[in-house]
Amino acid sequence: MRILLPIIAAVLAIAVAAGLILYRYRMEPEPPPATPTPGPRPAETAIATPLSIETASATPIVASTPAVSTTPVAATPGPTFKYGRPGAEPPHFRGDASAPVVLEEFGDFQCPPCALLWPILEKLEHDYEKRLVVVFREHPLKAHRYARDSAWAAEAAGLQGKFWEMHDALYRNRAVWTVADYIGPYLNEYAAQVGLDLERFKTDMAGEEVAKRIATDQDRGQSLGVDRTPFVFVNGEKVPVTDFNEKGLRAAIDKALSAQPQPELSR
Amino acid sequence: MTPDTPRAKLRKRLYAVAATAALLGLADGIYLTVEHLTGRTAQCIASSGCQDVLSSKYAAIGPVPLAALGALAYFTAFSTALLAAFGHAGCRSLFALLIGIMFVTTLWLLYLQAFVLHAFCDYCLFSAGVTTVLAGIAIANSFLRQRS
Repeated sequence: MRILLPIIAAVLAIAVAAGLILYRYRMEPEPPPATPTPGPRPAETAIATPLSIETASATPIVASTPAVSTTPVAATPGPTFKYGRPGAEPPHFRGDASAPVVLEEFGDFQCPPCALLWPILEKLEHDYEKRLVVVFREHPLKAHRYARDSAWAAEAAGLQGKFWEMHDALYRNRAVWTVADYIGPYLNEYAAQVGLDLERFKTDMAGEEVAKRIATDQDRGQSLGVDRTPFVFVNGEKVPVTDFNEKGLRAAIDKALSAQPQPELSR
Repeated sequence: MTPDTPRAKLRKRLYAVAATAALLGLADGIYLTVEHLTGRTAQCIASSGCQDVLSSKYAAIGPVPLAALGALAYFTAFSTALLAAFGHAGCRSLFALLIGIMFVTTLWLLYLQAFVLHAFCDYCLFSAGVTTVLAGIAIANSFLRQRS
């Protein structure tokens, strides 16, 4: 029996060591994607990564102005929702608030499928123009280390009318900040890049307004059965996970458009 | 020392298989725990639902990744199976109890994947397979013990 205990201890030691080695290996920064975002890019500027430990990749990460982007200021009313409990008002939306189709996404900035969905939604916004409005709701998952910080940062940016700029910066640089030891310097860097008042940004990050907006969005998500991210509704209809691709979302949007009442033809 | 009966030899071999299977489960659990803690999501090889499953709210209990609990359970299963293989009577009951709990948990997780998340994750299915093998061994050993 005594000979077994060293074997068990050795297996435990090997398991812990393997875990630590894998952890350190996985904390190495990912190379940035070759094509960060699709669509036309009118203005491009390089973002310097803030910490030297994270600058292993030689390719600069690119920031740009979204092709179709409307950053609502605090007083801009958004689209109306007739399902679920109310979320944060006004919601963050891109497109025409009176568009016939409202695509509402509950997202988490650290969630990999949300990052995959982001360029698809940008393309759809561009293609559908005034027929589609895209709304983003905060749903940071506890499972993700920096989900909370990134959501707070985006909302703090929103208080200065720069939610979508921060939203895009977070997704664009996701491969960098998700593996950082500390996210703070990265958030400050992105805040500076999108032109925020840094002092106000830091104050807002810890403020009640931001916490309240996120809690309200989460409450709405809970009322709608949101249990993962991304979670997408098109005119109140839940889009199945298998349709989180351009084809599936186009089909959902087209279906919602075809369900709209058609204007009567004059004789 | 009396020689082992064929039935006792078979039980020992089954416990040895269980210990080996538990090591595979341990490796799976460690991998998923590390992926979770580093904020990444393991990429599926055969299915396409890893991101949906591993990013869901069911992937962690508070700050603790479910995979870490799985790794702990597999390590305990390995230890008890090894001790049971070398005749530690108390560990046989502990092994059976542990595998029972793990199997029920596996059924619950399979239910979540199939009917709540509508997505399957390779690594979770692999773990479910390992637990099913362990459950089969626990049942077989229990049957052999009753017959001996």
